[in-house]
Formats: sequence, structure tokens, C-alpha cells
Amino acid sequence: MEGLLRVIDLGSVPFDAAMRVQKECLSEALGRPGTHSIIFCSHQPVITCGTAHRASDILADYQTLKEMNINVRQVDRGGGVSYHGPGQITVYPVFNLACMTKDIGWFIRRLEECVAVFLSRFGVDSARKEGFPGVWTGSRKICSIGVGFSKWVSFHGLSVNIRKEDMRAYSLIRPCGMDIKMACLEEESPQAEAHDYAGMISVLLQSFINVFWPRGIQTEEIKKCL
Amino acid sequence: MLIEVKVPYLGAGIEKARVTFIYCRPGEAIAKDADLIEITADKAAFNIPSPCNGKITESKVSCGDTLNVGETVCFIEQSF
Repeated sequence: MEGLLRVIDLGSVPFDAAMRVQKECLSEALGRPGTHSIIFCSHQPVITCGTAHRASDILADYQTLKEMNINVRQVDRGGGVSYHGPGQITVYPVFNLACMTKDIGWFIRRLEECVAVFLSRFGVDSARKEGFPGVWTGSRKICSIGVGFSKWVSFHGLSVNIRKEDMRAYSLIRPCGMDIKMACLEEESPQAEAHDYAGMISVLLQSFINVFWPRGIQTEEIKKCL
Repeated sequence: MLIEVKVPYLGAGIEKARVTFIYCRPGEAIAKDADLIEITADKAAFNIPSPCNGKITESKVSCGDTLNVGETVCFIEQSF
């Protein structure tokens, strides 16, 4: 066993509140090498714009977004425009790569692998595409990835689409600046409906541990009052 | 002493990164570990920190520039 992984489940949470928790975890990780955090949540609808975004990748006008109660946030992660909503699970791994491997590509490939392992538990085959970070089922993308690093501690992370009723919001953007179709777990796997949010978080957490710490890591569940 | 700050090793196969934000400009004081610039590669934003306390004397980059790993970002006059 090596280090400590603090597990934080925020449930349904506004984007800004989750960002505050992330930044707290980032500060803690910088001060305590060997301590990592992983935050799970579902966001109320929000469009986030990464460092590579173009304004034209948001297809809906301001008034439409306002009527749909969808906020837009400029964020300090790589990648383009992304949508987050209640039908997704969003994961923010705040991992100290100084204690692991100082390699951005290595980290992103591991994130993709975590999601592939998670999806395989539901009988879904997925793949990565060279040059297009994320996880794909055929030609459709089921998981978007965009991260940031401060002194080799990661922040931001990934979103996995779970519920199909939330997929229409993707028509409001060009996800990651591309004209692509998005997939969700419910459409890909009949087994998904039998699992609630908590059950999926449990499977996803185990996938992260298996991929990043195959020899195991001590975990600590942290409650956060928002 | 003048300290040269370079784009660090970012990982296997990553040779270039784009400057997406500049936190600190020539003439400004900077603390050790404070962020100098943000670069983006492979869907990751990466903040390059200052290696020392001091003042930035010269910047070699602008927002939107593509930098090679090992390329100079700026020079800092180190203070103690």
C-alpha cells in the first residue's frame, strides 16, 4: 500500500461549489505529498470552456441558455467546450503526479483506462482514439477528459455520460470543438438501469484504484458540507 | 543571479505546448512556486511555476505561442 486516497462524494452539486472543493484538495495535496483526493459528483447543467475553446463551439445563444438555466464557465483545464449535467458522473482526481509519474500523457491514458474498466463492468466495449483524448464506443464519445496541473498535482478530470434523458443538451455545443455524437451508458448497456448513482460511484472508484494503485491504497471517506 | 526558466518535460511524446495564459510579466516581482504561465498540451493545462523569488527581467513568450519542451519562457533576477 502506498499513500492515502481521500474519497469525496458531493452528489448533485453546482459547478462552482465543486470547483471550490477541488481547489481545497489541490492546496492540501501540494502540502502533503502522498495524499491524493478523488471527487465524485453530478453537476447541475453547466457548459464549461477549457483553454482551447472557441466561442463558436457554443451553438446556442445566450438567451436560450438563460431560459434553460444553463450557466457558462471559463475554466483552467485543457480542451474545448464541454457540457455537464445531472445525467453524468463527473470525477475530479486531484492526484499528485510527483509521487507517481510526471507525465501528462501517462495520466490521461490512465484516466481513459479507468473509464474503460468501469464500462466493461456493464458489458460495454470502449476504446481510445489516438489524438482525441476521451473514451469512445464506436464513433461516439461517452467520456470527455480535460485536466489541469499545478506543480504536478492534477485537477479537473472527466465526465462519463450515464442517463439518456440528459443527452439533448449536447446539441447546444460542439463537444471538444468537434462535430461528434455523444453516447451514454444507458443506451449502451441494459445493465445500467439496475444501478443507481451510489452503485456506479462504487464501481468507478474501484476502477481508479485498480488502475492507479494496483497494489492498493488506503482510502478515507471525507464528508464535505457545501 | 539571472535564472532562465524553460518549458519542463511534460511527458513521453509531448514536444510542444501552447501558451494559454500569462500570470506574470516583465518588471513584476514573483515568489518561488507562484505560477508564471499556463501552457496547454494533450488536453491538459499546465502551470509553470517560478523556481525562485525574484523579478522577471525578460519574457520570451506571448499568449498563443507554441513552445518546444526546453524552450526559454523568461528570465528572473533572483532575490534572496
